[in-house]
Amino acid sequence: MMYAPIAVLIIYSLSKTQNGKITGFSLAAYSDMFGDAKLMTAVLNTFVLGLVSAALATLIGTFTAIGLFNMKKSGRRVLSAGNQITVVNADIVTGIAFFLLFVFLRNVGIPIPDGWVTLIIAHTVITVPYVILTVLPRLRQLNPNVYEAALDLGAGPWRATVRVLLPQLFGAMLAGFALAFTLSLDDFVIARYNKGGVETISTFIYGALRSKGLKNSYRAMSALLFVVILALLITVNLFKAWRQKIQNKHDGKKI
Amino acid sequence: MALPYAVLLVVFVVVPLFIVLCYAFTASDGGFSFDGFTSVFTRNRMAILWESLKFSFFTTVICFAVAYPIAFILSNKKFNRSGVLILLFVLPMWINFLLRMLAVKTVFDFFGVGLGYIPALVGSAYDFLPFMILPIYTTLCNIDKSLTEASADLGAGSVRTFFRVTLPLSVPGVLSGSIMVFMPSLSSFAVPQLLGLNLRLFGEMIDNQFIGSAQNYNIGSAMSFVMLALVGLSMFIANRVSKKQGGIAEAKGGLW
Repeated sequence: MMYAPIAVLIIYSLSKTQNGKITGFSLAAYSDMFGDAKLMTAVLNTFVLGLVSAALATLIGTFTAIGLFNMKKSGRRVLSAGNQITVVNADIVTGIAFFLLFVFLRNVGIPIPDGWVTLIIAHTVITVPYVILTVLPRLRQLNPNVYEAALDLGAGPWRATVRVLLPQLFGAMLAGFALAFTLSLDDFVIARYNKGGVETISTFIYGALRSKGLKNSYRAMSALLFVVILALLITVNLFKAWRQKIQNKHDGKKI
Repeated sequence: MALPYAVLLVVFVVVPLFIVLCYAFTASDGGFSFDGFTSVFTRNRMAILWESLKFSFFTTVICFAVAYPIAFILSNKKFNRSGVLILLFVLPMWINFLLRMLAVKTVFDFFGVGLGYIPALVGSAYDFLPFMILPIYTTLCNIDKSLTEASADLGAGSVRTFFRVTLPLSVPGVLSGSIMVFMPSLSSFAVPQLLGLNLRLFGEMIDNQFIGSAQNYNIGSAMSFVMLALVGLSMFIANRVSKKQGGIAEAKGGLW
């Protein structure tokens, strides 16, 4: 049921159509796809935006999580609450709030170029909370003595963080990065108000659906993305399940 | 080390919302005014808000009707031993929803279904279904098996056990799922716009004030403010109802 539309999409992308009727098999949509400069630019933009904002979000999110972990309770409460705002807020309100902020900044003489800069800021800010929420639980599981030992052995706090703490958090950081990336990929509404002239896949497909300018090559692109992302997700999750299994076996033996 | 992020939050989250508030309470000349709100609370616009509430409500009901049986079957360890099946239901959530809508529209084209209210509802429900399945599934999995066994021991049949024990215990999951479907579908405009013919909802009306023919940031901000209030209200209810249920962030992030 969940996959029927995706299957139909793939069938469509692989067929010759005439007036919406399928008349035969064809790979034309796929070769058209690579020839469509606008479509390819949108795909490229989406991935660049996703990678850059996810990298920034992971950096900010990880250090914030470490800071948050060592904070006093009252400060932690306030910051955690602030962290939830964009998560629970309606996307359209968040998107418009960014849009009006950039309008305001330009009015007071801080020229923020519309497009890449606004998109990267917006996507980084909305994905940081998810990175924090991924890294924080892992931080709680760590043995604090290891960090302390590094300090005792003469490493400064900065060195101890980079050389001892961060390697232990690597898995969680990677998970946070992946989460931030997919969220950036999934976003349409926030990009709509802050994209300037930069088209992403969402805004591009939206435009095509709106103007009835839908081409079969767009279906081909979607089908390809579907397959790639699903394969990636299934691999990651199977790997996780497999590791869990080994872990469980290991724990079982100890007892 | 959390200080830079605190600054970031203030500059890019708190201040922007404050700016929205400022726009909502001023007129286009910059003076203080309630005009934004008075033009939101007109008969026409309230009718559209009502229409949106109805649309979201139907979406939620459809999602619930489809999601509960699925979650119930999947929570049975016999069918879903390793938890891989639930993953298959939730995975599509990770694909850009416009691409999913493109797929749904292709299906409608395939069967020769035109655009309209029902297709928009179906598309919307398809979009949000994972958000309903996941919390119900989690609650059902966490129900203590001894309770249903006790019910059976005390002579209740499986139907009676379901209605008197399992269903009441899964209410928190149903509620958090409902909020996670209802709230985003209330402000969504792309799906109703693309799949519903001439279906105009509140989200689109806000959108129209910023991009589109009606451009008026003040009215748009007042509408956003109404939206914000609705979000706040539902969060308040959600927090009251279920403290233990994971938030939206956990549900969204649960896959990685």
